[in-house]
Amino acid sequence: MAGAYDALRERADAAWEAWRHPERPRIDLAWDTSSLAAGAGRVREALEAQVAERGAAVDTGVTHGYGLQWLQPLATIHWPDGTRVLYGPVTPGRVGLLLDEAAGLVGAAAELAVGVLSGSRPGIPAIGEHPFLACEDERRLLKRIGHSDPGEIDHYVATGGYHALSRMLDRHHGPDAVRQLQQDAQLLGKGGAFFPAGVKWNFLAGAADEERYLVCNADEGDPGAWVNRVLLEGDPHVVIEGMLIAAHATGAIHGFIYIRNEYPLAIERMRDAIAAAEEAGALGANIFGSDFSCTLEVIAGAGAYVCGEETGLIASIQDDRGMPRIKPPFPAQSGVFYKPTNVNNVETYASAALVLEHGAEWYRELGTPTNAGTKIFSFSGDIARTGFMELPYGVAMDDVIDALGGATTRSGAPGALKAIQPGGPLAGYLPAGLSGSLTLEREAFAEHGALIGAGGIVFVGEDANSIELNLMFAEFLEDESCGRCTTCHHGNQRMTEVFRRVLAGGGRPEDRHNLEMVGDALQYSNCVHGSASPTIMRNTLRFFSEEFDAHVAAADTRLAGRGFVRYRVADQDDPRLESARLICPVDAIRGSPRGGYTLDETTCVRCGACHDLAPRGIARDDLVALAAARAVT
Amino acid sequence: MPLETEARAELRALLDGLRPDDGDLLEALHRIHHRYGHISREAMEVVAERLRLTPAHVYGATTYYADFRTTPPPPVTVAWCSGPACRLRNANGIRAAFEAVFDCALGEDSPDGRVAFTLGQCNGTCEQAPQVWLQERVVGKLTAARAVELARALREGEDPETLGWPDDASGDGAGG
Ligand SMILES: Cc1cc2nc3c(=O)[nH]c(=O)nc-3n(C[C@H](O)[C@H](O)[C@H](O)COP(=O)(O)O)c2cc1C
Ligand code: FES
Repeated sequence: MAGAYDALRERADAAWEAWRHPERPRIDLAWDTSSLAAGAGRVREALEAQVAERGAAVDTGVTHGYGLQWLQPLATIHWPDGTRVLYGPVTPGRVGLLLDEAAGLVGAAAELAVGVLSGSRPGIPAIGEHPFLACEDERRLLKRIGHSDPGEIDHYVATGGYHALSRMLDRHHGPDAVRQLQQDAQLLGKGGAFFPAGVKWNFLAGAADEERYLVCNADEGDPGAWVNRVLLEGDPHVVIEGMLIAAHATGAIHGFIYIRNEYPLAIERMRDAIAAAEEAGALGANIFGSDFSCTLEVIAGAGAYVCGEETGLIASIQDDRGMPRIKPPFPAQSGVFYKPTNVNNVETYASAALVLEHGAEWYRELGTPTNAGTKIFSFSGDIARTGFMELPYGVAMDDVIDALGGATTRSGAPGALKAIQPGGPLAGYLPAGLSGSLTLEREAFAEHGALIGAGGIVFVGEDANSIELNLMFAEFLEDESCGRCTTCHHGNQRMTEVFRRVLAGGGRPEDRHNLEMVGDALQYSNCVHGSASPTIMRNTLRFFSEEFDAHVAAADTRLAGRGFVRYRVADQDDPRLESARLICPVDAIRGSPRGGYTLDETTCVRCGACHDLAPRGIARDDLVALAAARAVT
Repeated sequence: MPLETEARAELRALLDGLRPDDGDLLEALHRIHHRYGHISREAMEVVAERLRLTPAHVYGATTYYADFRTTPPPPVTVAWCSGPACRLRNANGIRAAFEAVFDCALGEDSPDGRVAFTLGQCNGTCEQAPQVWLQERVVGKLTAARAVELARALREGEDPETLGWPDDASGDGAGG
């Protein structure tokens, strides 16, 4: 049995060695959703054209980006001696610099150097010294990200992949031992609920029916979260291996990987990885020659947030509308096709593979006593450095903010933050001022009536409007409610209406009470989509009470529902006013270069295009602030 | 039995290999949507027949998901990112700009039939915020003014393939 794995490993080692020490320099472009958004497709075209034109002795390849997404498109130069340096942003116009550097002109691309990934290069610091990565410890879940080609199963195997699976099948770990090991590691679900994975697996192992299924939840619908995407695109085999370990430990025969449709590259990479694993004998019938068999398939979602809720997801897989239902029965009792089923998040399965490979104690070395291990986080919003990193649970939020750059929790200072929005639309909205007492673990957020969620964290700058953000989340929750329960579907509709009216300038003194009542009713929804919907609203009424009250106090019938944003001509001498007039999509600006510009508030749609072009000539007023100032004087 | 037509035969061929009670409905709908850009009534009937579901069941599922259209799409689609990082950079204004130029609300097609303006969800390329997807390609770092220009160019019939590419010279990722 070990023979099948050993043969695979031997082949993989050779391929890996060839990749790690190429005969001539190679430029590996980051090929992931983030790099593609930054134009990696055009970079590749430009690179290939220049290589051909110069007849350069340079090859091209592919990796996944390293996490520093604001520097995309990223690329790595990989020299024959194994030295690898990360560069970015590599725009089409800059590929020549990279080619020069690769061909031996030391320093040609120095201005684009981000850090050394392997070996050393004069004048370029190691990647770990980059300020963005200051809070990281060991990269475990991300260990292959940016260091391998995610399309190559050989790279996975040569770096230790499928070894734990093969060892387990060699009977070193029976199902009971594997489940116990996950419990000893204190591996908690990474999808937001922190349920112990080993305990959940026990439920499935104890199920009556022999036909059992696994589901990998890759629906990742929280806006601002792309933690699962990174694993699916950057290390697909670790997800497969984790699922196979779970299948062995629970007696499951087939697994569904349900990936949101917004991730086409992840869907493609997972499907390719499944085919490659089958071909290699690591997946399918008689894995590595053992008597253990399990198959996997990818299902693409179609744009429904509640399909991330496990019972909604199950309904969606089995040809129904993806509507959550009341639990119990739990999936382990009745899941896909009413058969016992275990649902875990992508990162949970991947972590389970690491636990089996390295042991429970190793897993618990990082993190805190109640939140063991590491977690991938994605950070966005009013920060300088958008990207993802892997952090041990328990890192201080203040340190994270420092690493993200461009932001501070000191009110009034440049880059001042107003709020921290963790975990998507159900999780919370906390004042940035709490940062000093926040650590990245469940309890720290729970203490303030919020949830840490599945790893997306958005930073909100001081200029943002909390009520507008509340409306945004309320609209999302209303839109995405499956409609099964009246509390959820009408409650979110009502919450949306109230916020919309308050923002339009029609707030009423009783609106706070209205919202609190809606929050109470929402609690009685069938699933957590409904019951957690009021979290952000409640955080806002509690921590941003003044901001809410100021909007209500500024209510004014003369606004005629137009809201509190007003654009007006502020300086007739701004020469850019003519371009502002021309850009207005509704012809609300009249006048001519000779002067006399006016802006008709009733036609204006408040897009801000005129202000973009003529920031001096066109002012943007916040009428809430103006009303508050008037009230004081 | 409904009449066998060429269109039906083609639909049926598209569903090759899909079976009842096998979790194949989403796959069936994706294949059809990918091929035709929408799921017609006739397509729903063929799917229902193949997967042994009722047409009403297929209709219920199709219309449940945001990504499926039931009417033929215009040649151009602009999907507006509704996520938080984009909102923090005037995504609401950008939406208003597109709506004004396209002369339709979010979720509708422009009256001239040229453009579909749809709701998009954050896919974690927030470093590009605020963004839209033009034919599934991210057009990022928008301003309302750039949105107006892009929308006007599209309404004038310019080829989307030529529009909205990042400025080659820029990209000096602020923040170091
Ligand atoms: C509205 C809603 C959306 C959810 N979306 C996701 C999701 O996208 N991914 C996920 O793993 N869990 C999501 N969950 C949680 C799942 O129901 C479930 O708890 C999780 O997949 C279990 O995996 P874990 O134990 O490995 O965390 C969602 C829950 C709700 C209520
Ligand atoms: S919020 Fe628009 S891409 Fe994330």
